[in-house]
Amino acid sequence: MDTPAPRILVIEDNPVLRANLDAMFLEHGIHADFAADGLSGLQAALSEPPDVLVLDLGLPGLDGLRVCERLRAEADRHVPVLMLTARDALDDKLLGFRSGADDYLVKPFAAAELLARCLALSQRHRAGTTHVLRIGSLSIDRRSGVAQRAGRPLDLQQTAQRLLLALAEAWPRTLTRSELVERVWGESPPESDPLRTHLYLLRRTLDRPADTPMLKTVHGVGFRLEADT
Amino acid sequence: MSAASRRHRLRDRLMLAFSGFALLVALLYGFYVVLFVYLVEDAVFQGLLEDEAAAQLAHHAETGAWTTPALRFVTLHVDPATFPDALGARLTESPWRREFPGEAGRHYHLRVLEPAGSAAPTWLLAEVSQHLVVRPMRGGIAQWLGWSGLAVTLLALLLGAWLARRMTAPLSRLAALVEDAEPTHLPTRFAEEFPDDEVGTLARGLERLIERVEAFVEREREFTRDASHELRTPLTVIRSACERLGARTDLPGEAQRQLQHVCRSAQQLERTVATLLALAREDVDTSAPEIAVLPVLERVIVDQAPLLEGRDVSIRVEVPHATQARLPAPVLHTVLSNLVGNAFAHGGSGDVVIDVDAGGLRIANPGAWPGEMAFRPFVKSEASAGVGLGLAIVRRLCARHRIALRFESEGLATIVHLALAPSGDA
Repeated sequence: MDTPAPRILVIEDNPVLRANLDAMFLEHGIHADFAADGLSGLQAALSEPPDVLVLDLGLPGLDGLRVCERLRAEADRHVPVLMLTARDALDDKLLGFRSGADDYLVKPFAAAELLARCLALSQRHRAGTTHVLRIGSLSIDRRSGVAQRAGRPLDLQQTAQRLLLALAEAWPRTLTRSELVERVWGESPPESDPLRTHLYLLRRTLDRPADTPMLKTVHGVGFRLEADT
Repeated sequence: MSAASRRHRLRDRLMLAFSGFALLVALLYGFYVVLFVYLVEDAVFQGLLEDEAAAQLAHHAETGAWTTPALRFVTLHVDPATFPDALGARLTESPWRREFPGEAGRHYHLRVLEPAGSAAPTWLLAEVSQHLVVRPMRGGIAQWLGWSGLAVTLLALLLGAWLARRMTAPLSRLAALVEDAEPTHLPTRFAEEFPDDEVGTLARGLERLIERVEAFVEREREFTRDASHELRTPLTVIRSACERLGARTDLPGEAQRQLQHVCRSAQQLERTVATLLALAREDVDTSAPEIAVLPVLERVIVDQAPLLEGRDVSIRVEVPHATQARLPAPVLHTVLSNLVGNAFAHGGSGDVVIDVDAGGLRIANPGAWPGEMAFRPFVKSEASAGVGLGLAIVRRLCARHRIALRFESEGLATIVHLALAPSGDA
């Protein structure tokens, strides 16, 4: 995870969901602020711009789209906005992006997905401040490509390194085989099963010396990193 | 059947009726004409014989004997046995007959002479073949009648066609309008173009019906959409609560089991909501591009994997990278989520195998087949956590996108066959 933890503002009108999200963020060492309606949320976002704004679309008072538009018009910097919505038709998404959203998450979502996207957004918009991804005892310097686990440098060849970076960026979500192949090799993956050998090598370097394995397989079709601390 | 052929059937029937009637009338009148000329001819010969008979009877009354007939072709016979062409025998057979065809084209008319007193009857026999008027004209009359009958029939055909076209043109227009109507683009405000007759009434009725149907469909779609959306926020709350509780290690076993039930139900509800929304969406795209199946399938398996927690189930995916589907991606995702989720939730322990056979995907799980009942709303299997809406909605969604979906039972396993392209496509 990045240090320091990003500041997140959540505008969500459902109190139970607010409480759950609060607890989830705290578990991951992130302090999040909350607002229950559009207007107070907008004021909070304008007075103290967060690293990421998580914005529900259906809000009392000022709805999410209006909040986003006014934020874009009035804020003195670009606040990354992640929209939460119950509507997932293409038109609804386009409407969200048109009003200035950076990302879009459809309810119901997994907490891990929300967390991953918040982290990705905060990093995308803080480019230059840090290049180090931290997950448990694992740290990856994106610029130099150097990965360490518990301070021990991992000697990885290029493909395994890219696999690890893709998994770390997706953390704590699970990536499927197809998604991994696409992220590492793009549109033209090598013939046969390209993942098998590289994942084997990655697992050997990353997990064998440690007590807790970090690289988990999900029913043979997905892979994810699990924080070991 | 197309509207054009239906329209033609109507036109053909009208033309057939018209020409059939014309032909019937022509035949009837032709028959009358022939009958009339023969009757007139017979009346003429009969008249001549009457005159001869009157003269003979007068002569017989005066002299007591018969005389030679005045007309050359009339002969007098005292005994029928002297009749030519064996007419005597035929007269005995049918004594009421007064007209006989003879041999070699000869033709006879007969008149009985019954003088007063006890004198024996005598016969006047006229051989009229040289004096027939109609016989030489017969060919000409038949030809004339035939041609004019044909002309009238043709005229009736044309008239029928013209009338049929005039009558069915607005009807055909209306039929084409209804035929071309897409569920997404129902025609509106078309009734004014039609004449103020029965077709116009039908058009106005259709227009009103379409308006009502459209309003109804729209209301239903809005309801489905809004209801599904309303369900999503509470589902998010349930899901996040489940995730947080699931991460705790201090829960007693019973609580953990209950929590798992809640999680599974929530996940099933999520699938149902997604499927309902897919159904409520109107965009049935018939020209969906090819998409790779494997990435969607892997994503679905990963998303549905929590349903397998705590069970010893392994998943074997034997779907080649190159497998493509010609279905809209969200529909494929929704259908697969339901089928895979179902296989995970209802299967016992053992292998879930997903592979490809002729043109389709096969999902085999060790659970018993839910049976045809599962496709009816609100029927659930023993292991099901939610109401049994899931499969019924999936089947509807498949039907809507013309995707063949088949369930079969093989021993203790259930095998689902899902086609990867709309049926009807080559």
